[in-house]
Amino acid sequence: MSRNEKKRTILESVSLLRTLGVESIHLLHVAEPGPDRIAWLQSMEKAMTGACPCTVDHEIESGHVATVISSLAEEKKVDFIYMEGHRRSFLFTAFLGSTTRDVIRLTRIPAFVRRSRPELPPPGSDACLFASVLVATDFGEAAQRAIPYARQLARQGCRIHLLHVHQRAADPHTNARRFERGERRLKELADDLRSEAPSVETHHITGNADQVILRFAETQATDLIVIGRFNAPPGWNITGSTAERVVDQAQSSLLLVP
Amino acid sequence: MIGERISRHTVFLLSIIVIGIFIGLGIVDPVLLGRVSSFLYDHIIEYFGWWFLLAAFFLLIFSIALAFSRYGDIRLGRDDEKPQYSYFGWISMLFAAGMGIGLIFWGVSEPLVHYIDPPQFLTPETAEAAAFSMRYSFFHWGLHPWAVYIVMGLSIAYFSFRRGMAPLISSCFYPLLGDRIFGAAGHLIDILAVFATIFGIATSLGLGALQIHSGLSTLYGIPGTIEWTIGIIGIATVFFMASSIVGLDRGIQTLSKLNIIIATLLLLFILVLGPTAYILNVFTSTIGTYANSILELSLQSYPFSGYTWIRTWTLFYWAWWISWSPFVGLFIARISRGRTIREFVLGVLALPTVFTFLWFSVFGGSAFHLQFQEGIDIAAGVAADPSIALFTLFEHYPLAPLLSFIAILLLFVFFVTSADSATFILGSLTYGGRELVPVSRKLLWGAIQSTTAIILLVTGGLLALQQMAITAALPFTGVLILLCVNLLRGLSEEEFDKDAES
Repeated sequence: MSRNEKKRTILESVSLLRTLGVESIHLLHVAEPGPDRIAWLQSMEKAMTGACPCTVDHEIESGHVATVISSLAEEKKVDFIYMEGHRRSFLFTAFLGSTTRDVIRLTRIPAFVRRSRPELPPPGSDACLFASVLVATDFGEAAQRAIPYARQLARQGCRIHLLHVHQRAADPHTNARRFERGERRLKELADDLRSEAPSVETHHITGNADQVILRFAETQATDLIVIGRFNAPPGWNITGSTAERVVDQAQSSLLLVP
Repeated sequence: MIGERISRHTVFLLSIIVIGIFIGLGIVDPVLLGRVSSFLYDHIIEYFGWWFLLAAFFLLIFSIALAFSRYGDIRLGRDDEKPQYSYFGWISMLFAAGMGIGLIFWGVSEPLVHYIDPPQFLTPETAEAAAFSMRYSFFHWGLHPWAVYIVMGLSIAYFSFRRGMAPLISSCFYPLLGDRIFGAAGHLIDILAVFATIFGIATSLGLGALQIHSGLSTLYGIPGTIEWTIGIIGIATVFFMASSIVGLDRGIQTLSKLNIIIATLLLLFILVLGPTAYILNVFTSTIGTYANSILELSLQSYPFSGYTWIRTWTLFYWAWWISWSPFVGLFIARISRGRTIREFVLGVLALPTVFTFLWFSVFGGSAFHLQFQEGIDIAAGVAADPSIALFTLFEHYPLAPLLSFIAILLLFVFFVTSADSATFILGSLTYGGRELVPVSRKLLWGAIQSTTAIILLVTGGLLALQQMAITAALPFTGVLILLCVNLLRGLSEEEFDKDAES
């Protein structure tokens, strides 16, 4: 967490974490240690313990923020890293960088980035927190690792939009065959998920992966985007991987599975 | 199937209309056409000269890198295909389409013209100016034009022979544009190619006929009236129409082979009877300085002193090669089916270039030998009229009348092969990229070419039309860079779908 996060949002996030079934929380603040920081962190820890029946501890470290986060996460063997993130403009991240983006690049642990959606339900309501979830897949290895999370969410009654972005091939014939293959695999995957929960929809759209994912997330106002990382096509990608670009721009929360 | 989706007639009709407008303007008001085209031409060369230099250099690096990359083994056709034409036939046709006539014209005169009139930082008629002129002659006719042709030709060959699309420039844009290539965007690219090709070939025909005519006047004293020039175009038209009816395999291929043999014999004749050692010294030392300064040559536009010279020569050539690239690219794609990318790039880059270097060394070198060693001032006369340079040189050799006659024959046959291949390409471009174009369509394009040349010869709009053709270089530089992107997209996905299928 960072110093400029409001107490209210932090407490909100505790209730979100509760609905995710979290049992233990490690607070991490990366800064130069100082007495007031420790006091602030302790007060946070106390407030959070009150709001949640889970164990909370805290830590202050110094160093390169993203590196500290990812190495500590591995040391503590956490299940996922939780970050509040703000949607940033392209220029902003291009020049100033973004810690969220750095963490995602560095870590080998799933990361949850919270954005303006979903809005938290009033306390006591048992409505599904993530009413609609976008699961983007290119059927690659990384995307397959995200599928168990999708399955879990489907079991919880979330509405799953399974999206495959079709990349145009170099000639019409190959393109048609590739599209057919995409349809088939999408259907297979959807049928597999439907065996657990019925509300799975498939979408097959042509275009640039990141743009299509973002546009889809906005038009459908999805609450969560589940995406496998490192699906960049062979070769280098100067503007970052699909996942990184989606992280910068999305307004829904994100679950990034490495 | 796909061919049917491309509406052939859109490209054909729109091309005819655009060409008609320009030629109409050339008839009604040649002065206005001249003003419009020189305005466009001057501004394009002035503001985008650096861009042509950068682009051509990039294309050279790109083609060499591609040849040595792992994509070099990919065959332009099915994996088990064999090349359609023998090495000899292939190289002959490459050469005839890409340079041919220009090389005969400039072989003697370009080195001498630079020698007399170098950029302002060099003193004219010095040994330094001679070395400079040889180096720049190599540069202007060396690797760069072929690199431009390679990118165009390779893209078309790859997308048509390996990816099964129509051999059109628009087809190469499928990875970027998708189905839009069958609509306005694709048509625009193809019409632009037709436009550059028809205007380029019409001016080549006109200028070539003028040169043959001036050769005939010098040799046999035929009168220099325009009826004779028109007559030459008429005779050439009969020949290239006949050749195009016979078809590419027998027509152009036979003529090109014949021409390469004649050109080689002429080259050997001068090499053996002329100052052999001197010529070979010019050859090796110019290769040395060319290789050593290729980076500087590629990007040098002399902004501080000598910019006018670069504009008149290098930038003109670059714009010309680029606007000529759709035609040559389509043609060399057509004759390269079955070769691997490495073979294609290295063959197209190296073989014509070596021949060109030899050509310039033999003809330029022997002219310099006369100038320096034997004290005969050949340069002054040549600078006054470059078109008679070759004949002036021959006067100092035995069998001069025979040599001159052979040179005119060469000019004439190169003239016919260029017009013939242009007819073939124009027919195919406006017929959805099909190989088997009806004879009537080919004859129509042949007639349009020749009449355009004749009309503009009479009204005096020939140079205006040439400048018009060169304006196409600006959009085509962009097209060429995008072709690299498309090609890389296509090549990088070669394995992807195959793996996914299995």
